[in-house]
Amino acid sequence: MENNHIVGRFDKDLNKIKNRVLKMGDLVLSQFEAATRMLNTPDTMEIAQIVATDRKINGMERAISNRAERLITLRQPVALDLRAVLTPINIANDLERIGDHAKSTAKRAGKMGANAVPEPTLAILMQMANLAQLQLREALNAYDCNDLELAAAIRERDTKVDALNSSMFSHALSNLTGSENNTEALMNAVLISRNFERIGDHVVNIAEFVIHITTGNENSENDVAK
Amino acid sequence: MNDPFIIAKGVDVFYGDKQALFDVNLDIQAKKVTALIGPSGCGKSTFLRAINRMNDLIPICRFAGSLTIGGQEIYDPAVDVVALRAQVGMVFQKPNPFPKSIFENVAYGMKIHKMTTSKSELEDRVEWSLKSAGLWDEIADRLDEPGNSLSGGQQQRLCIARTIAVEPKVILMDEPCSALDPIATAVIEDLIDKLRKEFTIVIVTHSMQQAARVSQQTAFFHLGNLVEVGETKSVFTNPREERTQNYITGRIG
Repeated sequence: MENNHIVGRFDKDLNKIKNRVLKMGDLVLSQFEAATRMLNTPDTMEIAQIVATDRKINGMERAISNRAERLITLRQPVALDLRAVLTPINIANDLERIGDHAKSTAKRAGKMGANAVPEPTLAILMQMANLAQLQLREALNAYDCNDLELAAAIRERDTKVDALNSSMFSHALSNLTGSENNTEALMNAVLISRNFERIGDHVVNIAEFVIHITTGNENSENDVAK
Repeated sequence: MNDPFIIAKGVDVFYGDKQALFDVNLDIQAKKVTALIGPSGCGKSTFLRAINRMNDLIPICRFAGSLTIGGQEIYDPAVDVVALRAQVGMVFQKPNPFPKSIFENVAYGMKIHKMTTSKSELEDRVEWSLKSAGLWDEIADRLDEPGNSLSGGQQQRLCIARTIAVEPKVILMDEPCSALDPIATAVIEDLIDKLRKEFTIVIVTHSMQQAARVSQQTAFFHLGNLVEVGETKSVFTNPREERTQNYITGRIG
């Protein structure tokens, strides 16, 4: 594929949209990291900030869609170009959902308060969060550099996040009967674990969109977070 | 895609010393629309004109290879070129009605080919052709008016009516909408979609969106070579060849 279009403006506009997606991705990742910190040290001010930033993220998604729609209208791209213009809309949608899960996690952490989650339970959540954050960071890199191998690796690695979610469920189930004091905390932990698992699925979607731009192949097997 | 009506094998076309087509092998399906796309000078119009031997009119033009329509080799010296062109009609870029009435424009071909035996049969056939070309309702009470008094889009449909009046098997279209406004273009595109039920259509177009909209099969030509041919939906969504991708996305011209 030759790199540049005869219409140079198309490349320029497409790059601008891509940069917006990457910027949105960075913000969503920092939201996710901040929400994870709230599990250890909940802070009312910071949680309020996370909620406020989520509105900004929603606005970024709309801006990306608007610009992509405009580019489609003006240039009527086909084949690879069409996929390259549609993908920002789809990735921004998944990023927005990840932002929602981060917000939900932060709010739940705020309600629970400090030291509410017993150490072994928190350890599982932290492991999940770290893995999902790494996955998201790499998915954004894969999109930035059009790295198909990295995108494929992300898709495979999501099973680890799923496995941790299952182990959280078993962990909670076996502990619920034993300790009355921890019931609410364990329920919340299961719900947060579910948030992280969904984030993992959205990251997989992003990785699959990266593959789809270049190959044009259908990839429905992991369309779980739709 | 299993019923090729036109089969080109090893087609080379030369204009004097210059070779315009190189070893083109292309199957064209019956009762489907095949779009030929590619940048100017790629050989798509040369190939189109080879299908009804229009290139014979250019003295320095030479054809080699095989081109069969319905199993008949059209470059066989025994072939009657006039009869061939009745079987393989052509619609051009610029509407070119004869300087005659609307009625005579459509009736002319049938008269010279002696296709009708009575006046009423001729009138019926003219009406059928104009209806098939989607023009009848607009001009039914103006059949005696000159063909070139119509709008551009109507003139082009008149030319299509004139082409189908002689009951061809194949209709060749060389950028039939490039001189028309968007609405007239949409009318012609809609007409092409109806005509393909009865005719095998081959269309050259510079509008890739048009090729994507009207055709079922697309062939991409570049520098005299047939680079890729396939189902239109896959050529425009996921072409196999990098050159095709580069052309349809506007990276090469």
